[in-house]
Amino acid sequence: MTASVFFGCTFIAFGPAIALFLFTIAREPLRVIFLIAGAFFWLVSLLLSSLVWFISVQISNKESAVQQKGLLIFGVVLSVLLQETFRFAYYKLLKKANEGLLALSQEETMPISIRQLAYVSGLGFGFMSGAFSVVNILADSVGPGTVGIHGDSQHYFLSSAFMTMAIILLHMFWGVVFFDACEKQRWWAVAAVIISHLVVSCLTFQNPEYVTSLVPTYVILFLMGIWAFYTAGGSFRNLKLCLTCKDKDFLLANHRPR
Amino acid sequence: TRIFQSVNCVKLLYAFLSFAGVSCNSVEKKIYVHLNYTVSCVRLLNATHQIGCQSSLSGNVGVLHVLESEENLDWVLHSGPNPPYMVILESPLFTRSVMMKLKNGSGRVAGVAVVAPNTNPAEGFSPHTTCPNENTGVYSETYEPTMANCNMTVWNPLGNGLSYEEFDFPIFSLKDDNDTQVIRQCYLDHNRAGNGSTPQYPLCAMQLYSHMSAVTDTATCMRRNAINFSLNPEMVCDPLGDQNVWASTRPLNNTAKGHKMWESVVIAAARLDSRSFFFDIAPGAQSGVSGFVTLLAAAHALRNATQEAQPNRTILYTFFQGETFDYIGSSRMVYDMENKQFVVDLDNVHSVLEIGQVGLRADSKLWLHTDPVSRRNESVNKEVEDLIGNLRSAATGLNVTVDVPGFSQPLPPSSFQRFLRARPIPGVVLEDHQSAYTNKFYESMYDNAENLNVSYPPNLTPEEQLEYITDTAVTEVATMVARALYRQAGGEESQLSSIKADPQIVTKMLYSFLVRSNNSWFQQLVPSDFTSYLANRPPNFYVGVVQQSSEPTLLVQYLLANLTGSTINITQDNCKNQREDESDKMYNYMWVQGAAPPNSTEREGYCVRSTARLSKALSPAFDLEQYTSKNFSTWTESRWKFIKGRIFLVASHELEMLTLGVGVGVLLSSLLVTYIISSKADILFSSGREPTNATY
Amino acid sequence: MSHIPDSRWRKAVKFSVCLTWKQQRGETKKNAIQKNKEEEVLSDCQHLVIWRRFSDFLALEISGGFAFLPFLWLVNVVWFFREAFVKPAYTEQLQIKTYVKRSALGLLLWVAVLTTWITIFQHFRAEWGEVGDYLSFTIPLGIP
Repeated sequence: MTASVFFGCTFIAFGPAIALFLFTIAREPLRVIFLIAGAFFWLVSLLLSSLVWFISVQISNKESAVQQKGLLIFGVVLSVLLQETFRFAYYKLLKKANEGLLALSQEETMPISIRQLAYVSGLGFGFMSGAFSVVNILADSVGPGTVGIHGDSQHYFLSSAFMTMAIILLHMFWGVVFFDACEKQRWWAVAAVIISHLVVSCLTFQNPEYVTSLVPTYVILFLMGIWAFYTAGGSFRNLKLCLTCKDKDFLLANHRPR
Repeated sequence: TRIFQSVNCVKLLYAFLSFAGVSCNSVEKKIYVHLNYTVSCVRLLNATHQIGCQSSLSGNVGVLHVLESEENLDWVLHSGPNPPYMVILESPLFTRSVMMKLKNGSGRVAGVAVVAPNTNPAEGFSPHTTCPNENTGVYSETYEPTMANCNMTVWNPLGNGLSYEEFDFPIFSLKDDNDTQVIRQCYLDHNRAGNGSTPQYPLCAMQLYSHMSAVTDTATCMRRNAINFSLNPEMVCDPLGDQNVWASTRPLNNTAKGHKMWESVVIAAARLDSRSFFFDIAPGAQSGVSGFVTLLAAAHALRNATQEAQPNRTILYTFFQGETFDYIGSSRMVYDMENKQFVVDLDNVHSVLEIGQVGLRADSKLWLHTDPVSRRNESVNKEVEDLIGNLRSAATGLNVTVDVPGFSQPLPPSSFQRFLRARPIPGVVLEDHQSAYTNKFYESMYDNAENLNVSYPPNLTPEEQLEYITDTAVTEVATMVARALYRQAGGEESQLSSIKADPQIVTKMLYSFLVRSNNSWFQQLVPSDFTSYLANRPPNFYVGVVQQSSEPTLLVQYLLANLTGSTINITQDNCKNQREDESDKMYNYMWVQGAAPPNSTEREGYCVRSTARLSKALSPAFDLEQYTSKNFSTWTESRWKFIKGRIFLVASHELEMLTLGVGVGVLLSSLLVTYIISSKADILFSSGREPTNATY
Repeated sequence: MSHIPDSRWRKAVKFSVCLTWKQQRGETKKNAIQKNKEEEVLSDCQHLVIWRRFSDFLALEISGGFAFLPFLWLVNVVWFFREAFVKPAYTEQLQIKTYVKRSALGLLLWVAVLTTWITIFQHFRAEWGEVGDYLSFTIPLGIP
């Protein structure tokens, strides 16, 4: 019967990501390529940070709990910084690639805008980090047992799934904000992304208290979402238009041939 | 893989592992506690039946329930709201009535774990049948109808037959230690309901794996072993069997099989094996060890006498393996003798003296059991009378009295019966019981040192325990057996007083076989490659499958070689290659590692020359491919992949369904929202200069 | 285009021409004359495409059908169902229809036979003992 837990957690963690992928990315080969490339970049950052982690664990004193805890915090911070570095590297690469694409294409406009790239690569980062954070939990969720024999909360699977969902969406929003900030050279926004990433990662240290890590994470997710929405060209007016179904006139007024 | 582990580590950082991990601890560790000590009951098969236990392929899972009394069974079988249950039994409840109720528990029982106590139950316990080896002894309907099926004497009245039942759930044994305490605590914390209320989820559950490959009977499983055209041919069962150990007082040419001219042998037999309900625990103290230790001590006592004043008959010491399972060892030896595959044949056999269970004598009495049917023959009767006379005279002056049970009483289950099946050979079986066994724990896990009253004063180190003389009763019996054998072989009466068993050797053997085999004495007597098999616990006397020699077989061979053989001065290479000079085929050579001199750590090995050899103890049924044989043992042991267990909590069905429901809800709503957003992306994200953006 | 029966070989060549033409069609700008011509070519091509499908069908039948492959018949039924029953009538359709019907019939027969055998085998394998074991390709562990 615990297959239901497996599917439940998978749907929670990856439901939004899958929906986004299906409706906005799957149909366009170029976007799929950039998504996978983004995921790969995240993976490389993980490889690097795990290398550092591996070496530092080897040279650390394994008996000292304080040292190990310090090492863990160091590992998290380092990993976050590496991820953001790779996001920047990916941005730079995409800029170069876009120039190339522009040169190749016969048409005047770029086949994919930098905003779309930001969104796609952010989702790629999210997919990969989500997968890595939840896959081995999902693997164990199938088994007959549930967490708790040592006194842990039995909502472990559920909260892990929700955390993963937040991480995936956050990566997407961070991608949008980050790329936009790079484009406009607003470095404070880049710093904001890095800091919020650090905060979210460090919130997981609260973890047996799932409420104290999940609630702030979702608050940050919400704020980042709004920021990303505005960055992507959304506005309150648009939202209102959209919700009050005045879009038909609007569409007619703004109709452009594709 | 190191890199992969480290990836795992970082993965775990992100896996929100709460403990701010001291090391890489995985989710699995948060969920499961594995049981360290897992001893299971396994499936055995014979010509007609399967016995033992098995789990499903993926292990049986059940909610823990510690059974407090037999009345408490109602919770498991009827009223408990969370079936199936994994029942934890305290050993007093491990009875036939409880087990049979659980067996017929209509699927509400997932498995049973029996907590083995640290002291033996006072009232006795034997999971064996009341009439051991009922159908393969000599007393068949054709031999003597009145004696068939233990009609005259029920040998093991305490036997409840549990070992011969078939259970379709796993049954494990747990030691009464920390593991068991964890299980109990888990039960108390999670599953113990208040007065009349039902326990709340999450509940503590246990999973036991003991999936058995073989099924139905030996014919079926041997056939499936032979079928190998499938994608992954897989063996499903193996015949039970091992090796018999034998030695002779006069060297016999082992390469020439069959009848030996002018040779007359007195067979001194004992059995080596035992069993219990659980395959991994078979201490067999009274049922096996008492007999073969007596015989080993007697053989040792006879070493000098037989070398100095060689009697005119040869004494053949034989230690039969697999006797518990329809006389595997003895039936094979008799079969080999009949078919000229053994070093002597049945014509060479003068008489048989078998040492049965002799460890628990009441009033220091020993009983000489004989076969009334063969004694109807005058000449056989005379030989038997002579043998009894020898035994009686051997007992004089010792603290042993021998007596004969009623003339019409048949033999107790014994290897000698297999010889009688072949022909009426004179013989006596030495036992400590007149009729029913004095052993209250026949073929059970309680037939241990405690049952034989082998105990040590507290605060002794293992080495001091080894040297401590616990028992003289077995020594007395050994002396008597040695003297009787010497007389029976035709030895001089004048020599008798010099034949004495060594109490030091006897108690060392008892210590080694009943308490721990890994001791300084055994280490000296075995070859260096065998030392890894010595353990800090008593050996397991279950015969096991035929492919590998069990630890007791080899131990007894090494002991027999050391106790009856002599040290010779040849090089290690020559010793290992069985080369001395001309007498190659007569002796067996063995390089043992010996002791280290006081000021050195290097052991000084030496070569032991003896007549101690091994012979096959595989039931002839498997050579003849008669898997439904009624004459020979057809026991096989099923193979299995693993035997293990773990405990964990299980979540309620409602929580699981809630998780699934939330998951589906999230998926559907995100599909809907994304669809709406992407279809209205033009409006939503329209303020920018770029026509399209993030979401389309 | 005239409707003189073509030889097999000519048909095949024409078919490949049709295919290349179809690929190019999307990329060229059209005017009225071109459009007219296009429709003409299209009808001819349509015919050829159907012919091609029919020969595909026959090829499938000959290569697999005779080998009593129920799966192939399943493919036939699924693949050509639209062709045989949904599309507007054309000359070869009748023939395709019969073949599809026969395929469906054969498939049903096979499914019935196989289902019966599998049911009987699974039910009685343990009872048959030795025979059951020798008939089995993989013998399950731990169950009779």
